[in-house]
Amino acid sequence: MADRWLKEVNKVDGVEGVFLASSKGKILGKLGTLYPQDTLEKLITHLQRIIAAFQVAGKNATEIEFYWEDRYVICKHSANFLLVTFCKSAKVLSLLRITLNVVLANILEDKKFAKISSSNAIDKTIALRKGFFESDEQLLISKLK
Amino acid sequence: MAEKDLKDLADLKAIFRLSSTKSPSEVTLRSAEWAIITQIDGHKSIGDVAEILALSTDEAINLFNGLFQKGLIEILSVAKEEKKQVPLSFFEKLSEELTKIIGPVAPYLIEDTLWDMEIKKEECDVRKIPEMIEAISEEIPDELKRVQFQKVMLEEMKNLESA
Repeated sequence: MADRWLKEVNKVDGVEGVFLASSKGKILGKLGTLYPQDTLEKLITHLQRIIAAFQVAGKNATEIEFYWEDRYVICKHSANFLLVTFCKSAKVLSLLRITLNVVLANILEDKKFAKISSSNAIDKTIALRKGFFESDEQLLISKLK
Repeated sequence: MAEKDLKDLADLKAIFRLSSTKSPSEVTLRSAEWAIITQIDGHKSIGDVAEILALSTDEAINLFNGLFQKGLIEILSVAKEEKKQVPLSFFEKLSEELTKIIGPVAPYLIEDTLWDMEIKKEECDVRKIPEMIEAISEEIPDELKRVQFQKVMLEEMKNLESA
């Protein structure tokens, strides 16, 4: 399905792993060395909440980047899915961002994938109403208001 | 030696040690410079330190250069990385593709970007290209056109790597 595009990202030097997740939090495809499933799910929730917080504030965060556990995490997202990449090296970030933009555009053109991701889609703002917020999430939401 | 610019002497593979004649406590340093000082052990290269401190190549070289000029660090070994030079035909292709996207201002935008990044076409290192393409892309306001440009240039970059 989207394996071809995940391979494209994973072969950038310094990339350790990449995965695609639906907005419901279901992992739709993955490649490379990744964290355990439960860690990835927590990460997806965290990313969804950041995206949703921006959405509620009428802003659009098309890309989220942060440094976590000695890795660069880059999340690109569309309406129905997230594309998350873990990268060890700062030297390749420009090439990686360009690759991710191209890959995201290609995935969006993939009708088969669009069908699957839309059937797993959910309103992202629901993520804001579920569970407890961590202090950094609360800080972000308060800044956006 | 300290009068020379470090940028001319070394690149990411250069290794430094702390100066035996001058101590960091004798001068005022910024936190980023202190961070570099704490990493210098006679083994780590500029590239290694940049990676550990999450600095870009230019930031790291500038910080090392500052410490070198202050006489706080000394070069232990300079193993200049072999540069793979970008052929001029790449810039012609870049100009051609960018012109299709943004029109006749394309060559000026390329020149401006090269100037900002202190890159000379005649001696441009292949590793600088992704950063340059990213900087140029930021000047394309239309998202679809931006991705279209990046798609073409990504292929060109792959050709450069395999050449």
